[in-house]
Amino acid sequence: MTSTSMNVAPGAKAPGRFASAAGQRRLVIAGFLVVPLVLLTLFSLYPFVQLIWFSLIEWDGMSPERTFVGLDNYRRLLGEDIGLLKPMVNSLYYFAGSVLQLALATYFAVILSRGLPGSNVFRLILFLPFVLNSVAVSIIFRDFLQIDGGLDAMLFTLGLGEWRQEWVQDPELVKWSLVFASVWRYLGFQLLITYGALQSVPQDQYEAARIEGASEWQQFRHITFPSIRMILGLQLILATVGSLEVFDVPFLITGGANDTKTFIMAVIEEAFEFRRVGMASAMSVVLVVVVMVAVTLQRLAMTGGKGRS
Amino acid sequence: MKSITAVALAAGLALPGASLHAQGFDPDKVKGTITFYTHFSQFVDDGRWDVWTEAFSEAYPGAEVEVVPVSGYRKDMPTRIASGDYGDVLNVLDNLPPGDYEKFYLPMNGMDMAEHHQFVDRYTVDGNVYGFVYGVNAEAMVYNKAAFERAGIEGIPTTRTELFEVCEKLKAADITPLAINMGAGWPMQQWDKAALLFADDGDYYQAMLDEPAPYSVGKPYGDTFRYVRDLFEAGCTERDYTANNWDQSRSLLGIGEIGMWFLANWSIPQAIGQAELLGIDAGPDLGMFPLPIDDDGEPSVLLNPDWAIGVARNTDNPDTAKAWVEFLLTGTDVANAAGFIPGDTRIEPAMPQLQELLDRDPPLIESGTPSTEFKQAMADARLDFMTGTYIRDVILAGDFDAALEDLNGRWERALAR
Repeated sequence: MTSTSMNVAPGAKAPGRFASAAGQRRLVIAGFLVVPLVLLTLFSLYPFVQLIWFSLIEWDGMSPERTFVGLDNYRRLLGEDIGLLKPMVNSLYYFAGSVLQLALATYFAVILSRGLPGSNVFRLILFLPFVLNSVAVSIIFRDFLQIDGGLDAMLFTLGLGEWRQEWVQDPELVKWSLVFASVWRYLGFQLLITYGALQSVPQDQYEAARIEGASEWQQFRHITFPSIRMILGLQLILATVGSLEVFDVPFLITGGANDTKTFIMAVIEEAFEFRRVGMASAMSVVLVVVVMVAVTLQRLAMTGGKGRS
Repeated sequence: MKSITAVALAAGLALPGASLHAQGFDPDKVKGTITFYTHFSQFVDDGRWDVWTEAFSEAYPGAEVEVVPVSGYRKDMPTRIASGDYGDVLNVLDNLPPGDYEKFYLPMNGMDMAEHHQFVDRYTVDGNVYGFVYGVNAEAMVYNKAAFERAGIEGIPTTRTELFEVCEKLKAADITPLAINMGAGWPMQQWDKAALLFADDGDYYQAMLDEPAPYSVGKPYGDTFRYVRDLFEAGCTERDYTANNWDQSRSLLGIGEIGMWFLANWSIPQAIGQAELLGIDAGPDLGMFPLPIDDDGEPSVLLNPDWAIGVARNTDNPDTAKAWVEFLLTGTDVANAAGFIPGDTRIEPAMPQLQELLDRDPPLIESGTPSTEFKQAMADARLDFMTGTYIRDVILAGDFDAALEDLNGRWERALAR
């Protein structure tokens, strides 16, 4: 869109906004933005607005009649039906698992960024679980953790037969078994992000530190950690959101038995089993609020006292 | 006067659709293609749907039925219904309160078959018939005689004590005594039905609406859960209770690795079919006996209707749809193929194992219709009636009495609404 394409006589009135170069540029930008914005509105914003609308009505998901009840669903959710929020407690287990996962991912990332022989292979092995479809992984884990399943068989062949547990049947152990399945899958993803962040750390700082005689741990604490702090903070936020919204792993492995029902499972049960679309939508909106509160608190904790990041 | 009545009579006879009154639909209008959403996917595999739809097209030339199998019927069909496009003939969803039937289904009044069909009242609301059942189930214990023999058990248990003894013997012979299929979820609904046996009253669900604490031990529901919990804690059930092993368990019952389960006659053809794939003829090995709930020695059998089919409210082809409903339930052997006592009383049940059960002449209890208020109360209390998840949670709960108390509390609050 150069000005040579527009032959407007000096002094003559420009024929419309879009005839000028800047105008045409605007038109092109707008044109490119229209399609993504339409898709975003149609598939993200509109359903979200509809979700809030649904939380204000009572509907059984089938009949054409929907009764407006205002904030009644919320009142009931925070009042007599507060038991519906109980599955959120299970998210704490996943959060604890995510913290461990983050520590492991950082550890692996630091080691693998050294350029030791074989680090490419290990990076691939650690990242592979994330590439696999989560439903397939959950189904395989279900058979793996069964009584006399894959894990038990492996322990038995290794001669560790007495260490066999009821991985899924034991009410105490089942939550950690599920967390393990989740950690196994997402470790690779966090590893990749941390690894990428580590690439941007300037190497000369390490050399200077080594000359000064700093140990590995001191190098990590004073050079690596401050550089990737922001990325770790971001991953912690992602971990929080992920653990509040976990669904596929417990749904496919235990179906919610042994008290492993998570919040999203409760929402889906409310909507499609008990036919209470209004209450389920209210629960979803409450989840969104909780997530936003958690994220805001974490951001404040990260940047508080250090000024704006 | 006489001439007027004569004219009226003549006009009445000349009216097309005089046959409407006999059959509920007009045979001349039975044309075109209708869509039939069914949960019987096993008949797609063995080709029976093709046989039956072809027979229908022969009986009514120009009419065709497109059969669409749906798995997870209770979960998937409501979404289709909400979209407004749910075919022409489909099952009557049982988690709908009867008061809602008219919103989604067309009344099928004046049909001949209503006089020869069982449980028509269950789907009749305000004088309109909305569904006809495929058949009736005798809810009792299905057992593998060969497995019992291997464990050294003679005869069948008729009391609760004997049942637990039988379980011990089966355990000693390394056979899973009683499969409850908790991992699959839905088989736990059997214990919703068993509550009627414990109450000895087919209409107990209605009576429950006046009961503030039905889940206490001493009341039918509480006793049912205590029964299952005792079986569970005594190790009479499968070790693995989280994985969905339903498909596998059918073969296991057929070949005798599972001793018995409390399902109904429909499970027998399925077990036989699965065992056949392994090359074993399980037919003569399977039998049924009534569930021994207590020690008085004369346990009853519950007669519970299975799914009913109805016509969609917004169908374009009501006559064809109604003709298909009538043809399927009265003109084909779908009920016997599925292992039910046929809904149409003119068709004889063909299952020898069922005959064995009924020959013993056990007391029969007919299950009553759960009313709109009852279903509403169950939904308000968040107890998924006839789905089994809340029962599973009670059986697995750490503190059984506290779990029962919690259920009572939920029921009370639901009644208060």
